[in-house]
Amino acid sequence: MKIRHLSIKSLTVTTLVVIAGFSVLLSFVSGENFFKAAREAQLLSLNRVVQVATKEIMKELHDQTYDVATTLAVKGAIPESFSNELTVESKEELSNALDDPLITGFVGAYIIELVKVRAYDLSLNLVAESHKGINGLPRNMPKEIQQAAYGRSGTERAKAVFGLWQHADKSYYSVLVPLGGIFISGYLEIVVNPVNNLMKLTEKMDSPVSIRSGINPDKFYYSPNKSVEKLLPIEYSLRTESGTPAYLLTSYENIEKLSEGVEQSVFTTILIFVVIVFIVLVISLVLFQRFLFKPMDMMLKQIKLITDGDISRDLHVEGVAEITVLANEFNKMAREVRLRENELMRLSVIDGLTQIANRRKFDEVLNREYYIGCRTGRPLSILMIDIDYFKPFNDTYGHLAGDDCLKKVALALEASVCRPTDLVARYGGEEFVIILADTPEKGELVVAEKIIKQIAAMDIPHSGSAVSGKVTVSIGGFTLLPTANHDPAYVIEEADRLLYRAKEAGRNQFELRSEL
Amino acid sequence: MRANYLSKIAVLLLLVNQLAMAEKPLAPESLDGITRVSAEDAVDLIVKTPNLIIVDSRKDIEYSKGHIQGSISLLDTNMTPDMLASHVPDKATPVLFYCNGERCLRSSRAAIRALEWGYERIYWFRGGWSEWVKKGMPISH
Repeated sequence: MKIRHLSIKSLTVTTLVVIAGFSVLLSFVSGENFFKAAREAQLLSLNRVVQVATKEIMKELHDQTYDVATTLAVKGAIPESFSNELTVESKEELSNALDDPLITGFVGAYIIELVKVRAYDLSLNLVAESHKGINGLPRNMPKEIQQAAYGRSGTERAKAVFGLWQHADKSYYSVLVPLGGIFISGYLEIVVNPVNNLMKLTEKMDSPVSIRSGINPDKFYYSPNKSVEKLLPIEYSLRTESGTPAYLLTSYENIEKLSEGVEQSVFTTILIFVVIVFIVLVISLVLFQRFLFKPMDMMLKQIKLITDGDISRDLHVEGVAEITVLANEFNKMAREVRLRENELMRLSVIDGLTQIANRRKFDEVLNREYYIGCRTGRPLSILMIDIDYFKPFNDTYGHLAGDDCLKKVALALEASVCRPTDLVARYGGEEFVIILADTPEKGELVVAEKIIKQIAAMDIPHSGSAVSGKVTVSIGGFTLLPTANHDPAYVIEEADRLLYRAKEAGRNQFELRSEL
Repeated sequence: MRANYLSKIAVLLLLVNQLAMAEKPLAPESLDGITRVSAEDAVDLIVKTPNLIIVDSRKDIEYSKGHIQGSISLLDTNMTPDMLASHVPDKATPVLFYCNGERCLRSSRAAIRALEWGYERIYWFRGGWSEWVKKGMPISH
């Protein structure tokens, strides 16, 4: 498509619609991105919630286990039957004492799942362990606990040591406290299985939860009791002190439900944006139509009318500043064109020197008047005037004086007629002609006499004149009733011949003839 | 007018805040003539000083939930010279006071009173029970 075929209206409307379209498209893209970002933030915070809830559970587990450990370690059967030098029998006695919490239970024990109770000497070597509880645990202190407990001295040894540790594909939680309390004689380790406690995550998260082994993720300790197919898993890895995963805790969240609010707000935002874009588009188009397209259209139509010929019209347009400026400038230009046209019109019918009608005007008027006479049957008179001895006048006084003489004669001739229909014209050189429309020979005679008088009254010296010492004129006058038998040229010929006769007769006189 | 109103609210909030703070003031940093100890110092002191008397200045109910091994329960407000003397007959015997922690004033008051009554070797565990538990020190039930 060529640019000249594009209108401002189509270009503007297309541009606005494209901008609006892109804005709407962009709002959808932004909305989608915002939605994604919001979902990611939600997932991150959910992950954090799982993490915090798990840590809370582990804190409860720790407090409970610690409470059990301190209850058993300072007073009662275990510290009483413990000593660093034990016989086989007394070791058995100690083992029985260590069994006691696993058999009889005690305050708070129902909250934790006790799996083993073990006693160590001051060098952290195993002295005895409970018969009850699970079997197959290694017969030495878990390395995660040992690392923290080993090599301590002084009062540091009195502090409890605790942490998650692993054996085979299972994880356990141990709390190690000094036997005998402040007066340390050995150590007591309480081993618990945290799985039952971790199940509380379901209540805390209020959503389905699964617990898997960190070592073997295919092994489920706890599975959700309903389908989690459409739910989004939020996973948190609970790690041992050495950093290896002990449990994989997964909370299954209904992300669609969580995203509902975000989706709704994104949808509302986009909707509002689209409506605003639409309103702005409509308002823009209305404003453009009112202040640009319509005035532009009107202006173009008016300009077409003016350039098609009606130059006298002015543009009348109300629009934006540029349109108004354009219309005003166009009007200014049109006025200038009109002025120049008038001047040209005037110049084309006026004789430049004498400022009376020229030959062209004379021909036109004669033609017109002749045929008006034909139609109306009114007489037409014509006077042909020639300045006597004009060549000698020029030779004597110079051409400037000659020109001046011509001007004065023209003025005198104009002063000799008074009707608006009378036309005085310069016929050529020193010849003038007067058309007297609707004038019989009588009127012609009056004008001819007036001319002779007027010229004489001017009193322009002319030493080269053979008639008198002043400028004089000879006049040939012809009156006829225009008919179709003749034409305007006939009138001129006759007037010219009569002028010649006047000159022959001695100049400074007129020769008139009528065919009425 | 509005600024004046706002400034009044600000002052009021400040006062309320101070009142709330005043409910649980901090124990003094140190007490003259009394040795301040940490949890570790306390353990060391207990191990190395067989004749040390540990006084738990908290309420009985708090004591029964767990206390420092070997301590006696003696609420500061109930503590009379005779009552203390029944546990610590000799004024040269070292005595360690503790209560809940740095926002508990019981042990500091008890320690000051003991000093006034002529006890010579007074130790004060300012961090108290909260520091003890936080550091995983042995608990007696």
